[in-house]
Amino acid sequence: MKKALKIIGIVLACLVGVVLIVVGIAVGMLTSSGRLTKMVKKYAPEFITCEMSLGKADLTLFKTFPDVGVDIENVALINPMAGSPSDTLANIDDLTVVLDLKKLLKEKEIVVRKCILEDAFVNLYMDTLGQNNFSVFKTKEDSDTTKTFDYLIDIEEVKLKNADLIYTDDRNQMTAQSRGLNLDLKGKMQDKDIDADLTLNATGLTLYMKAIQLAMKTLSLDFDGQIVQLDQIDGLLKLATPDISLNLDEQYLENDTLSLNLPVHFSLKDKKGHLDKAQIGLNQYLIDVSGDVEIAENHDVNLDLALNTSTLMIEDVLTYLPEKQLKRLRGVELWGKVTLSDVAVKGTYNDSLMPLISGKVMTDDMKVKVPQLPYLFTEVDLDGHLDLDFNSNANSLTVNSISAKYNRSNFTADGLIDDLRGDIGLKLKVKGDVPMADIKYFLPKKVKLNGRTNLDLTTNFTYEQLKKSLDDYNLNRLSAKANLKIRDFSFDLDTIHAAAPLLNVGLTLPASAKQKGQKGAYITLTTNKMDANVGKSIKADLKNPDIKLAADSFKGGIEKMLLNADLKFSQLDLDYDSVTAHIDASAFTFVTTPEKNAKGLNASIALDGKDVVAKMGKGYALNTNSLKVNAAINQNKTKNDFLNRWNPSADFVLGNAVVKVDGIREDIHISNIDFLFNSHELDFKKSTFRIGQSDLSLQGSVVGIKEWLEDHKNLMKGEMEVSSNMMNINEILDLTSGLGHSDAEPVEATVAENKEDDPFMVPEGVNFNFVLNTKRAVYDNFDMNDLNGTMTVKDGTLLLREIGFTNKAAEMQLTAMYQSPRKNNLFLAMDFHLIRVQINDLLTMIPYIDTLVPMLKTFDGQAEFHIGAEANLKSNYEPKISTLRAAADIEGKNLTVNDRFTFTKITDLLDISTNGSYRVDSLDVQLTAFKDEIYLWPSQIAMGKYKVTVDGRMTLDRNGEYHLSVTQSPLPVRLGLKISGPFNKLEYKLEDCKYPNLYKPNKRNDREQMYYELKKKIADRLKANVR
Amino acid sequence: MKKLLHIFLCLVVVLSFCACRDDSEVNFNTSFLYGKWQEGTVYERYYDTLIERVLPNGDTVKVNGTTWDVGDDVNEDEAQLFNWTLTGPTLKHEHVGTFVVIPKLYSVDMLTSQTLVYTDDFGTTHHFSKVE
Repeated sequence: MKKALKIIGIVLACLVGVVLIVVGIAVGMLTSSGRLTKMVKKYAPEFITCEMSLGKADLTLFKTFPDVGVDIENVALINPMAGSPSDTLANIDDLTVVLDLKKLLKEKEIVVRKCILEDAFVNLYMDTLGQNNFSVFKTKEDSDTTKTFDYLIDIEEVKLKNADLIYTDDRNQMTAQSRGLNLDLKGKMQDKDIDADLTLNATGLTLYMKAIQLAMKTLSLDFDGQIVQLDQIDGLLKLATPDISLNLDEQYLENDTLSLNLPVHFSLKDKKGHLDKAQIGLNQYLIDVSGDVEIAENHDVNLDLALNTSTLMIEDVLTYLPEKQLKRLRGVELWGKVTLSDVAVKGTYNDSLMPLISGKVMTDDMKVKVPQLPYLFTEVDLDGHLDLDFNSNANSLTVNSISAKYNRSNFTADGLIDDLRGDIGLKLKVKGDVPMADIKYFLPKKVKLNGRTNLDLTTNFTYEQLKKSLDDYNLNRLSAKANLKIRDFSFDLDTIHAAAPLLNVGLTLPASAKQKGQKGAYITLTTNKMDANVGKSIKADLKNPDIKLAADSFKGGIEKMLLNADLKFSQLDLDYDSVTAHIDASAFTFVTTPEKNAKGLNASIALDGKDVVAKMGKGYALNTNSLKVNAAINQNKTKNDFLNRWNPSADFVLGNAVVKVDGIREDIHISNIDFLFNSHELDFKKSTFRIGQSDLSLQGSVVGIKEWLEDHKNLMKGEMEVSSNMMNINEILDLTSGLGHSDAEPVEATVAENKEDDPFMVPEGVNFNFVLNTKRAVYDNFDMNDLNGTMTVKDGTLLLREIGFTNKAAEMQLTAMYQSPRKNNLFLAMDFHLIRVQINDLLTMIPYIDTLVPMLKTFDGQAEFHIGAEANLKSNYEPKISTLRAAADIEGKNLTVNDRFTFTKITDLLDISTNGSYRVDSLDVQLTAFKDEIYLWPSQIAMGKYKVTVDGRMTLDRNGEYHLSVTQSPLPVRLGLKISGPFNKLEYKLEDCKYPNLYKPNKRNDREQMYYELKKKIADRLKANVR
Repeated sequence: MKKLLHIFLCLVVVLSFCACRDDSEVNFNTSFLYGKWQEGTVYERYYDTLIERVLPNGDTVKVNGTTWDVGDDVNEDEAQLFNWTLTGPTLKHEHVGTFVVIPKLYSVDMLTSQTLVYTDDFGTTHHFSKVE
């Protein structure tokens, strides 16, 4: 505005100069043309200081009728100046000046009434020092007293026709150029008062000033008003151009239509102005402007304006924004109606400052497309207040209220959107009704959500932060809080599925705002009921779960996710494969520890469970009051088998538990178990439990589990210490039956075993050493005290190695071996030594001895008993008689005879005198069992003065054939006795003595010698393992 | 008369001794024994050399005979071990167990390339036919 006024002033000054020239011309107006021309040239230097050339001067009536005018042709003012685009100040083809003839003639006073310039070129120039080329007119003060005329400019009308005007101001770096300028200024100018009615049009106007480039085509301007004392301008200025372009560093207007209707009140002296209900029309839109403008001494423009707009179409408004401003929208597209009202433009405008702009913004049915989002925001109705400070980042939009739809979601919000020209900050409180499908885009692809939520969201982050976080799922940049009430919720991630009828979700970003040191999102989940699945195998049903979790790094699925989850619930029902579990009031912690090169999920799991009831198939059941598990998994997705795929490790602490195992009659009562399990090791740190009659304390470790499970080629090794006050070995064996056996039977099996038989199958590929220390143990009818020794389970063989123990009947040592190469061909072997055994007790303990040695029950007393036996067993443990091999060595002294009737009968038949004594002095027998035959090797029994050698054979059907030879007797006769037949109906028959010299080394024949040696061989082999 | 009776008894005794076969003088061709013999479901295999076998307790033993009874669902590779000797008509089996040795004495009645008959001390006779 300042510059425009300046231009007008300059133009007026030029006109004044021209008028002064005309004054001179008017002096000679009564003279002829030639004379008039001479007069003009003569007097012109009195008014003009620069070089000047004038053409022909004539009086004219036609142009100025009814007044008389002077028409001067080819007026040229030459005033060269360094920097000026031209040395010509003005070049006017035709200058017509209308004078007040009456004043001139009567009062010798020159009064100019009109001035008309046609086809003029005016070049105005001001250099950087403020010197110009148009100060070429002498003022009254400058004129000397010798001047011929006094003059007064009282112009009623000034016209410019087809003028080209150039103004160059190097001091202000401004260039203005107008082409085809037609100006009609009517009014009265007297001294410093101008009563003006200005009509101006031009074919073109350009203005270049520093960063401002203004161009208008076909400009039309009207001003009707007053300029009082060349100071106060009051009037109405109208401007219209159909084609205006404006560039203020950036292109704001381009080929737009502009109209101004400005009621102007401006003081040139004070440089203050006031607009009252001014109206700016830009294309089809109108802007009402009122307010004050002040130009300070330092050329600052101070504005205090109020604006209101008509309803604007946003898409049109955006076209007025320069490219640079549009880029700030970051691709956001907007459509719809916007109204700006109560807009205030306040502040200083200068090279470095822009005024503050504030105002009310309302949108109606606006649509917004954000490039990163799949759906439009529609029906966006905003009631906001805009505050723009282009001098700083304090540009904000206060959202009083906004409502919008996003696909099938409805949102309302209020709050603040700040830093509009920078990284837009979103400090909003958002409420919404959102189908979970609509936020799918914000989640990793692997995550699927369903349900519909009431959303209550508070945000405090920037647009860039949001955009980056959506790109890389790093939520640590964001600050937000959200509460969601999700109905019919379901969640899927990889193989994890969770669902709840109503889920309350609390979200805090970043998690550190809730828990120090946490990253990502902090999420709380509460619901009355939640069902969860992991794959097809794990199903969980939770009641009243309360989940608190911090999650970060969502992009790579759960394997890459940093997850720290705490889960509390009142009840959990878990179903995994054939395992079901019911847990009450427990806490569960799940923490992922992703690693860069991990091949799957790395996580640690902690469970503090109370009242756990678990079942594995129909075979196993666990009931415990306390279960604590600290576990870790290290998944390797390239592996298929369980241990290699998950590499689990877990520390189990179990207290007050009962385990039921199908096939084991007795429950396992666990007082406490603390064991560590991983792929390589099972470490029983502490465990005490009771199985039926057995109480056990177990400590030790098992290694090589993974390798054993993989291919059974490597041994699984265990070193365990088992101590017990009471142990029932049968129950213990039931516990470990069948480990490690494949289901396939060898093809050699030709006889199908009873399908119901489930013999104890010794684990293969394992090497377990159990160091036993048991105060009392029971095995079948065996009752053992101070049982010590080693039990080894090694690669298909169960070996009780030199187990030493005592009982009421004897001191005993047992080595036993059990193998189960296949179910219907088991193998049992034993090496049993009873020292100082009471025969009756022995028969009570091991009734099978009576089958092997029926004659033994005839005696009682202390004996030494060694027996070795082996047999293959059927699947029901029944011996395969064809495989039975056994041998026994019995030595006794001073034995009493129980079966006195039989004893008496035998002694009577053999003519042995016992003198009423039912005693045997010594007994030394060897027996062998082969298949169904038990062979009593010729053995000697001493009774006083008699010695009897007895041999024989019996079969398992309790038929026998025995021979007794009296080998030493006071009598000369050596009788033999044959006893044969069923045991319940024996026949006695005297016969020859069969072994008269077996115990007489010097008299043995070859066969007796062979028998003797074989007996010794049998006995030696049996006693070889006695400790 | 008494003298005649004594003489008669002496003759009977002498003749009886004379009628007795001297077992040590009966020899069978041992090579006929080598091979696999069957009696019903019972098999015996006689080797001409000692073979090494491992007992269930892990001990390695050398034996020259095995026996098994398929009627009890025992196959040859699950057979039990024995050492045998044939001295005159006396066939001795020493069955080798994990903790025991079980001798058995038989008297061979017939041994041909296809037939093996032996009897134990209690008169139980076994008839085997060679199958391999």
